[in-house]
Amino acid sequence: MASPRLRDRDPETLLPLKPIELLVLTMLSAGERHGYGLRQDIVAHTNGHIALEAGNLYRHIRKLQADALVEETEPRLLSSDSDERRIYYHLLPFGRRVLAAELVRLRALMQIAEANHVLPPRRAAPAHT
Amino acid sequence: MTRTDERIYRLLLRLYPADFRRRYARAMTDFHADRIAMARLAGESLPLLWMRTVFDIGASAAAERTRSLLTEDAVMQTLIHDAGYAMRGLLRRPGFTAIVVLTIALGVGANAAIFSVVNGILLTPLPYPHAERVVSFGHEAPQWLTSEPDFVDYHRELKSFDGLAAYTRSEVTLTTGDESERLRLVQASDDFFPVLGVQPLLGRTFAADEYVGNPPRVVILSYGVWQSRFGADRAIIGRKVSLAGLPRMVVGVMPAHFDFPEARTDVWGPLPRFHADSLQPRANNFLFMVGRLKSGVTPAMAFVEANGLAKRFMHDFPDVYDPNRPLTPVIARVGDELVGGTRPYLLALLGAVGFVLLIACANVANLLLVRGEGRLKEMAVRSALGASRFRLLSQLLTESGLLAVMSGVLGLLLAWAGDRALLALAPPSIPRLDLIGVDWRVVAFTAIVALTTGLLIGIAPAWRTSRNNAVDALKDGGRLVASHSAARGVRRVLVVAEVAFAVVTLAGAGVLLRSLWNLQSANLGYDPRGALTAKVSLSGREYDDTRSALFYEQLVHRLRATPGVLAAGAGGWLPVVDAGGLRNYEAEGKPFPPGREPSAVPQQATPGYLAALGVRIVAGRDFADADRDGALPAAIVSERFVETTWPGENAIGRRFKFGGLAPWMTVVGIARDIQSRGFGDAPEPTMYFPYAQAAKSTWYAPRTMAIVLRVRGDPLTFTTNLRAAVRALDRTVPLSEVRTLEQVVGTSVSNRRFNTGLLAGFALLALVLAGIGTYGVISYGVSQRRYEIGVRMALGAEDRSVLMLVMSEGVLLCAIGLVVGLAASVGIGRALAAMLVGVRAFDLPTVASTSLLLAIVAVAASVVPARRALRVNPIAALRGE
Repeated sequence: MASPRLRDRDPETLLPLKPIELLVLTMLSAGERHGYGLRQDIVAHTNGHIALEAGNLYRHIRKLQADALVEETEPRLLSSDSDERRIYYHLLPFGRRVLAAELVRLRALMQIAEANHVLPPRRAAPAHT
Repeated sequence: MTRTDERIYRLLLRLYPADFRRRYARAMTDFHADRIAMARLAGESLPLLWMRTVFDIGASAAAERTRSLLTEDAVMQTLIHDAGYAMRGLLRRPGFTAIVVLTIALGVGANAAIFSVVNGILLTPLPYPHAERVVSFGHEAPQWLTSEPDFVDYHRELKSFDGLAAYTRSEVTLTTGDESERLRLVQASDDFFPVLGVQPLLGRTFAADEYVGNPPRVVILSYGVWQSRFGADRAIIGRKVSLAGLPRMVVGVMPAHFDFPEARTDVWGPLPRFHADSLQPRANNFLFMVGRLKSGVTPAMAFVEANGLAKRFMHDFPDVYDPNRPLTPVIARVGDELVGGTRPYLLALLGAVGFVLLIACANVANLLLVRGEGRLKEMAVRSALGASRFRLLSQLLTESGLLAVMSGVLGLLLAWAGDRALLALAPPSIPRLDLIGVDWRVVAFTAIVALTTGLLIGIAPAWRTSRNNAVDALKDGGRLVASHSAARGVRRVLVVAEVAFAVVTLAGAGVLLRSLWNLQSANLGYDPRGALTAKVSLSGREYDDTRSALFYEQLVHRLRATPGVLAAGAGGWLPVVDAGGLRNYEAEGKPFPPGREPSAVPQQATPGYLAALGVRIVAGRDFADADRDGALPAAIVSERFVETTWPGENAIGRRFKFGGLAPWMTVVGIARDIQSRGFGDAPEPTMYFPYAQAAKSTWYAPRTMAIVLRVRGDPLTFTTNLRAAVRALDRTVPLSEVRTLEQVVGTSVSNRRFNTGLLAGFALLALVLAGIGTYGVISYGVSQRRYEIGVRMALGAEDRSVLMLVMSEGVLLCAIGLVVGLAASVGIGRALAAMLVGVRAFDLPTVASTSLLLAIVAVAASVVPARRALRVNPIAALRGE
């Protein structure tokens, strides 16, 4: 799907991401997931505020695939002790760059918000990380 | 997930476009299976889960389908691409685009404006529930209306009606504080409000016991009076107002849209119930009727039943009804009756603007054709690069469609502005004006017209342009000389067509103008110019016959003494606006069988009234102050009165009376006949009585009189004098309806004048557009024939022959268009026949003047290009640019 030329694309052209795209990409940054797994991750992360249904989720996956941010795998076993198979999705390198670009954009916004005292300034990260 | 669950889910997935389903059906089914399994474990509600699923799939499938239509569907893609291409092309030629869009927008706008009028007046139903069942019920002449006993019998016996109401129309004086105002009062029987089915805005309609007792003690206000006289005070219900000097309690206020039976009805009162033992005679027809037909009954069916009953009345009361003047019911839907007279004009207008649009289309098609020829090379290149003919055709049509859409939007704006202008100019006598406006039907109509226009202007040029031979066009190097005779043929046909349309429109407007002219130049028998009129109403309680006679005598004397007033008088009614009904009389020495007496229109008048109106007295004398109560009862009669009563005899000194104990009246003068109902009316026999004697000699002296002043100069400047003269005699007497006699008379032709004016305007627009079209074609022809003209001039052609060469083409095209148009206008004339007065459908003067106008336009349109042809420099032309 991802042609070599797509790598040359500027991630900025795809910004800003829609909230659900951002969530999906972020969850996939942890590793590959199948559809329902993504839903569960997002539910957990948002404390149940965002509970995607299949249609909505796969519409966004379609978009992310079309933009060559995400790739699907052949169906494979859910786990070693199960005979159920699932299609998994994982982040492509370009998808990772787009996600990073979006997060940088958000960080810049954060800094403005902190400077304007909308948010308290974040404490410096501990030295050992 | 059970097998049923899965089957349902797969069914739901069918909502997605096929490619989406192919890719994600498997994954989504797995997702759903996991979702159900987890929900079972967590004890979630499964029905709720399914509801969410269905909603989610419905929404996302709709979004996916829209997306794939917009981005993947081939037709849609092409359309979007073509529209973009066309848009860029149009923007590159802003002048061309503006001319085309403006031309079509004018045509579409005129159509939309007239359609919005048709929509408001003809197509919008009346504001009554099942308005198609509400009918007015009257009689043919001479009865017109209905008598009390006839109404009682109709009401009791007719099975076709759910309800039948009688009402009368009159005026009363409303007094608030020391201000008095005349209001139009409708007194209606108890079926009136149920028949119309309209609920009051405030309060209630009349209760059953309020129809008993005379005079009635209750009243319902119109929305307009409630607003203007009572400041829209909601506490008005239950308050007393003074009508004709008597207190009446306001029980209701009607909604703004309710105006039955006429647009300016101010107040409604109960018509006291009739008593079988004290009915007015059958010959006394003074009731209007309105009824609601039973569901499924047509007016024609109701007529059959009512006519049977009317025949029985005639049979049962032979002394009342003359078999030569039978009682014939007239039953018509109130909607038809309200707008019936306006309908043919509106349809004629719609036809005229339709023609204007067609002409505009022909002009634009010509422009596009010319432009198409300039683009032949572009098309040839595209075709050589593999564009199919269909592709080129659809692209050109997209362009004209785009032009049409832009014009449609602009046209709608023009229509809205046009409506405003029409409403400002329209005479108030046109019914239902307030309903005119731009609504969804107008928008839909405009959209259809605009899109049809897009197709019409696009089809011929697109066809021509797309079928050109690519090789020829490329070989030609883009310079087009003789190979396009076919395109020139199309352009000429278009010119002939638009000239023909213009001729038809002009001829139609011409015969209507002639009709209007004929109507207005007809001799009215009185002179509407230089006269002021007004109404003065005395209270019947304060003024008895003697006092009111004295009042009007003094008033007339005062007015006559005003400098600049040539004559002054007062009469019971004014021509056109309130001409009265006929009354039977007996002539001395001319016995008529009972019930067959001749009849004439009575008019109670003061001395000077006839002179002020401009009615000539052909024999005898006018009334004088000496014709007062106690003197010999006098009368003036009209020429027609003499013809019917004493044909061929000298009428002066003859006597007639109103039957029974009434005194004989001696004819002292003979007056010219007048058209008392306005233009186009046959004069009725008329008899005039001195107002001061009328109470005794005619049993009736009206308290409300029309004042007429014949003056030197502008009549309206005498309004203050008139008001002062009335106030000087009695401050409480209301003066109303101050108008010039010309305005009064104008009301009888104001609709016609307005419609004919509009039509003439559109006809002129059509003519101008056709002229522009002719000019365009001839002028383009000259630029195409520069080479030929250059050769001719180089070979020694004279100016005159070059001039003729160019002019003859334009004149010939117009001549053909004229002949075709005149032939077609015969048919149009037939369609207009109902509106014509004293003009035949094929009217020679109209034809002649139309032809002359067109000849002028043809010459004007050809002469400019012809003069340009003369300036062609042979050397430059032959060198080829």
